[in-house]
Amino acid sequence: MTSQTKVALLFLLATLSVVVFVSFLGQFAFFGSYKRVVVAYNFVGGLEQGSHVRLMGVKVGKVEKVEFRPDYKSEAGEEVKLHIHIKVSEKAWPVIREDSDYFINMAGIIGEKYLEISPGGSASPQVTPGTIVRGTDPPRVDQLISQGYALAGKILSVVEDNESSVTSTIGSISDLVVGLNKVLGTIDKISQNKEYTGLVTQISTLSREMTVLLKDANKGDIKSMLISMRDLLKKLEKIEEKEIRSFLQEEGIKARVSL
Amino acid sequence: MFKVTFASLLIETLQSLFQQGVRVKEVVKYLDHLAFKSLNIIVVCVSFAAAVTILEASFHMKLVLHDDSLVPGFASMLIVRELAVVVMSLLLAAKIGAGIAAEVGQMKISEQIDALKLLGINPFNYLVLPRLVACLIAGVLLSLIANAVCLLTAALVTTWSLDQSMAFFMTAFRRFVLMKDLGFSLIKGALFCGIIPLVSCYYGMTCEPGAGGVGRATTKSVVSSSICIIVLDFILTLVFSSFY
Repeated sequence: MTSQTKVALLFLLATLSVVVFVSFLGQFAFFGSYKRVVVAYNFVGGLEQGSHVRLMGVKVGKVEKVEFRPDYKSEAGEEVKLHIHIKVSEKAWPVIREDSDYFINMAGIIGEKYLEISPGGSASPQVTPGTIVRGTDPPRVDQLISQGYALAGKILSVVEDNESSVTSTIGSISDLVVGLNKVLGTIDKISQNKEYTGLVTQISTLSREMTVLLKDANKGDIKSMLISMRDLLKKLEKIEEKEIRSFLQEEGIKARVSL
Repeated sequence: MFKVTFASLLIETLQSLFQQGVRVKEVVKYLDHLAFKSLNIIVVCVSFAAAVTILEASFHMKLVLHDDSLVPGFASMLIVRELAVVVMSLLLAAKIGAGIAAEVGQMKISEQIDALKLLGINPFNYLVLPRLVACLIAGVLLSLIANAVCLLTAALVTTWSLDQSMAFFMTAFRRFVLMKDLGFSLIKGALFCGIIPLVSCYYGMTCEPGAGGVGRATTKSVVSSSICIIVLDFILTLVFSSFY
């Protein structure tokens, strides 16, 4: 083998190594085809070029470019200054609809950022490749912390301005807690007393019997009896006082009748 | 009598590149001698180095974290950024550095370099430049091959020893390693390999007379090349870190 052949072989091996490396990195999709869309944000929370794009949790593409657009305004008139150019596998493309949402999430132990697309409704039309869609900005932790800090400052100033009333309120709460403790102690003692326990048992039994009685009352016999009694009382209303008295005297009953 | 310093060697060599150009045939010959014939040693050594890296990283992570799921990611990053290119360069320094120093040293003590000058041939263009160009090209090519071999070995060891799938290794690799890591690795490879002929030719050209002189020049060239590679690696790592 001549030197030239060996050197050519060396170059061939190096080229193969490049192919191995690039395919390991996934920079080229030798047999894949993609469609592209631009997602607009005002804050991306660390999403970078090369970050993964997932659809329903499945990797379907990558972030190709992060572009600053200081003058861009959406159709609604909102200023959205960050454009994320993403590519999505053609296989996954039909699932992305105009009502799809574009979130920025974090995954893994090292907190890798990725763009998550939620599938849209099948009634909604498909997204046209190359269009600009609005993404959902992730929450800004620094902003939350600063707002929390401001809130804490306000609470502190309110407490300092109303120190006497806050102190008296705390004193009242303390008294209330002491009173509650006493009540709870009394309830505890009552629950341990046998007489009270017996009383509670009896009330419970009475309640059960009353329930049975009421059930019976709704049955036909007692109901008809009550109806008869009501009819009787109505008839009695019509009889005069003297007649009743004479009737009762005849029966040997002395009574005061007042209807 | 032919005398040279390291600075003059460097300047004269670069001057001769622009004045006389490089002889491509010689470069191809040296690529064969320096790179192709070192390929087997490099492939074997970097493979084992990668395997040991995976096993050691797994051992330590299991010991400390009781979990070695991050080994493929960390190991592949270490392989691409450091291991493959440094091991390859040190091997080349030992193999070809010694050879170049001995060859040039022998020419020096047998006054062949003086003869070249008498014949009107620039010894830097004739002896140093083809080796330098060949080593720069070899550095890039061998870095690529060493990286690929290392990664394939690491993937295989991960599958067999760590009981993790090849897909898991690929996912971890993509998460940790960037394309620019490979670019920086190739730059390192070229520069490390470029140092070897310069240092070796310098020690060869300043060789003392006798067999002992050649032996000392050979030893010095290997030691100095290795130290230069390690120090340059530190400097380049610092510089490249600022690009992340």
